[in-house]
Amino acid sequence: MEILMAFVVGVLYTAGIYLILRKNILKLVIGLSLLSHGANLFLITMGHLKRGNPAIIGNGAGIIYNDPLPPALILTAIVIGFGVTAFTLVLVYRAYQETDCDNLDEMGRSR
Amino acid sequence: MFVLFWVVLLPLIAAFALPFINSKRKVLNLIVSLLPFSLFLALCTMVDQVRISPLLEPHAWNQMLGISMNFYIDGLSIYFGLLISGMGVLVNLFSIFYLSPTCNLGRFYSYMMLFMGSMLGIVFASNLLCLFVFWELTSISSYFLIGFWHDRKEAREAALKSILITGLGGLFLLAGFVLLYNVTGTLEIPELLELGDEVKSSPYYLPILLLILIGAFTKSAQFPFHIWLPDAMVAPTPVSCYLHSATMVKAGIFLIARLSPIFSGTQVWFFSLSSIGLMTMIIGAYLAIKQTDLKALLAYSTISQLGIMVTMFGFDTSVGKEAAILYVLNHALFKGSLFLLVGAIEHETGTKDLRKLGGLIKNMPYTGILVAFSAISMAGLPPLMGFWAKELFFESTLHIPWHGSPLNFLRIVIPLVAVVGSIFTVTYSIMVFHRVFLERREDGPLQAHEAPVGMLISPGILISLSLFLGLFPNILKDSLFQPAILSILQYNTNLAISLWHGLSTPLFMSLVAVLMGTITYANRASFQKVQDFILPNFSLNHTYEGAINLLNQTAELITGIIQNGYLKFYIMTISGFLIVMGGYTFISKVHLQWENLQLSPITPFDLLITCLIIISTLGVVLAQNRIRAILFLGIVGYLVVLLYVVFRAPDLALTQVLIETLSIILFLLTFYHLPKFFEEKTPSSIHLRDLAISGALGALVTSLVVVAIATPLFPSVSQYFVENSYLLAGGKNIVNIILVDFRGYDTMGEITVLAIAGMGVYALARLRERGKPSPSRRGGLAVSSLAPGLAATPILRVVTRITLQIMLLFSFYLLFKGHTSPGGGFIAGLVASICIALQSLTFGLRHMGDIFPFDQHKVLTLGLFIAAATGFTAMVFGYPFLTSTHGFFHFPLFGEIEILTSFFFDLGIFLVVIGVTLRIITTIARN
Repeated sequence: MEILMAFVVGVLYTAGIYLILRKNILKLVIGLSLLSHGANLFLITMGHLKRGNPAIIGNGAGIIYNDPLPPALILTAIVIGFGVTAFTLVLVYRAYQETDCDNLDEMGRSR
Repeated sequence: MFVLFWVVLLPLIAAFALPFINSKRKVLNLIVSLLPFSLFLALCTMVDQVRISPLLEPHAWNQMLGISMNFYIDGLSIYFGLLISGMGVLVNLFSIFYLSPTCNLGRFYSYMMLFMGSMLGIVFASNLLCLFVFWELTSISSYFLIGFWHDRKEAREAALKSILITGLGGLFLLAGFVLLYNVTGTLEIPELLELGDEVKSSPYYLPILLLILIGAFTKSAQFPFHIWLPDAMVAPTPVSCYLHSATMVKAGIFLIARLSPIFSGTQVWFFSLSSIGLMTMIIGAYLAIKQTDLKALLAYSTISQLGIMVTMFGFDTSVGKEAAILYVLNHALFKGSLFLLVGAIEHETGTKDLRKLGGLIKNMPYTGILVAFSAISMAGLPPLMGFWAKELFFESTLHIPWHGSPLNFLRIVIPLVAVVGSIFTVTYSIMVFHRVFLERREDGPLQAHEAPVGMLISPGILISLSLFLGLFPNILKDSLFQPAILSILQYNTNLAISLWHGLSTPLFMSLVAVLMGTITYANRASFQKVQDFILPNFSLNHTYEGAINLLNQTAELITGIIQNGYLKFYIMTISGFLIVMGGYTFISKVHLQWENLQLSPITPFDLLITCLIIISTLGVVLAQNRIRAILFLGIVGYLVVLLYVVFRAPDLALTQVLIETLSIILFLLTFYHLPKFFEEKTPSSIHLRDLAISGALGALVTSLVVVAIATPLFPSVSQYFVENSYLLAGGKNIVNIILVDFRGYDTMGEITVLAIAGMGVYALARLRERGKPSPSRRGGLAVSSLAPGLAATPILRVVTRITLQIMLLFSFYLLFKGHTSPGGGFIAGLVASICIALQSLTFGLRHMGDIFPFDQHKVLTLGLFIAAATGFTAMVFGYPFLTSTHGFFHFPLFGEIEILTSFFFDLGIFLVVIGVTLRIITTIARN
């Protein structure tokens, strides 16, 4: 499973970077979203996958729990990622509105 | 008794307070004259105590790093402390009459007080790092004061020059202190004073000494760092008097004096100090004669006399150090009064240009008399203090300690150089008085009146003191001079000073200097030809400007390369670096041990999800239009949710599903305004290149994941969380407990970032209101048409109305149960905001207020406040920030209920998330 996850993460990174390297400004935002999915999956793969119960302490001794640390890290990352996506979306929208340009290579010059 | 603490702190407090009472001139004047005066008196009361033994006033600060706020007062520091506070009184008194009421006096005195506090800090700090901080603070206040008239270009440039040079010196100084700490293991001056031998025998002695001396030389305007001081004369005259003549430029002298018990007694000390000092003295005095601006003349003269003080410390004899320390006061008295008098002259005549002044004795007789006396002291003539102070200087040049055979010539050269410097000094001293007051002015007499009495009080006091000390040199000997000398020499000497030394060599040297100086002045026309011949354009300013230009050009060049404005370029650089370095490391260092890999089994379901993720990711990349790309992106997100379910991370799955929903709402709301995908007319080679880069990076990440799993370097901290989550924090949902308790500090930072992002969205969207109206309002606004409930079919209306209560209730359940079952502040906040957003989108944004009658900013701020307050409450009880506690309480009717303080933190998170999410959605929807 971990190897499979490694490939999924790799594909997400590849797609993310490829989209960021395009000229279209909207593709940049989409690429960033893909990258953050990749990073989150990377993190969760670091805790051993599917080894135990959900990390909620139940009754009885000797229960093996899933690694709670990656979920804790990812949880805030997801929420912040949302804040960042919203921010970039508005930034893209405003930049597009001000410069009337959607090409990243030309945007700097069209001021 | 915390006398010293308050002596340093009160001016600093005043510095912050004064700008606020800018308009109340009388209060302002009263404070700036009475505060330094009371400090002066406070220090006076300590004189007797200090004479018996030095005092250490302990204030513990950061013991772990060996930094204290201790203050140390001995003969040397009280000598400087009295000088600083005393001069402060007189200069501020002068400023009251001198400065035009139209300038911003609150700001001016604020800087002056900042300077006074930090300068007192330098002399009283017992810890070298504290001393360094105060040292830098004086540079900063000097920067502000030089640039006080900041609308003048030359003032700004001079301010920048001074802070660049003294700031650079400060860095050297800091390096020296750190190195010294490494050798001795202490930063406390009283302890260091005992460790002189250890330092001198250390192999680091030379670098430490040189680093510290560079710091001292930049501050005390020694050659070749002196170039900032003449430029600094653009500052208001009280500043030139106080900072750039009487006190701040003597910080370097103070440091040399302070540290001389540790460092002196070596050849390096002798050569570095006396060579630089003599050079500075000669160059300063020689250039002073050339000046046509009175203040510039005084500035070069100050440079020259600072050189004298450095030289005398370098001689490393008891008479040299005695003479140096007395010269500090002497110089402050005559140069301080001269600067103030020049200020008065400029105030009355409107110029300080020597060529435009002349014959002023008729207009300003009292000023003239005071200038005459000050010039006499500067030239070193009896009966003022300047006379015997200079005699002591000559005396010290006759006792050079290093007289090995190759150095014997120095015993002739040094006194000779001293005499030549004195000749120049006599020349410009005569010039200051004769040229301004006696010589006839070419364009007829000036129309000017005597300066007001208020402006003459301070110079009058200074010069009377100089006269008094000249006549009775021993009056302050026991109380001030001897203790100061004792703390430099570390042993008692019998200081012998008197106005009349008998027919000695120094007297003969003085006679030569006065005679030759007068002759030079009498033949100044021919001397000017000599000056035109020898080094006519001598200045290091070109070097300075060249260095600054080079720095700017290099910075521009580098910025031009790495900040070229192409996002692509940055991404490719980062990825390229990562691929090359990471790839190299992988190939050369990593030996994967496959047998270590412990893999989880793959079920067909897992395989299906992952394949779908890969396919929809490809779909995103290949999509020909926006809507398809966004939908595919959504699919990827929901598939990731499924993965979290498979990996048994319920909190994650919940969060991701909510965020995914919100993101899609966001994308769709902005959809009409976002740029369309366009046909990229890039050649396929570019596509291939990008594909290669991203593919290589993807491959790198894939191998990184595999390697990271196969080689666990250290045991995970997770086990600790699992074991202690319930024991220590009282919660069963470990993920939630990590967030709100174990790693609460991180979460605090994260919700702050989130809050900033929310504000940023709002600010970005509102930016237009300030600028030009939006150029394009094409396509209609998505939600202005949505406002009355565009999509609100009757069924949707009914359903949303019913779900509102249920969802809100559910969100509270998630919040309250967060520590025992999946949920918590983040998830609960998202549920609540989605439900509110859904309502308002259904019934129109106008009805938002009915559903959520609170200001979103206030909710957000309240949330941050609650979270921070939870943390600080722990501190009130003496625990570290964000320490949590929990307990079981019995409530009637409810029975046993567990209460965690971390719940309040979670409540803060809940509110922040609601505030931010609603802020983002409404902002985007309104646009």
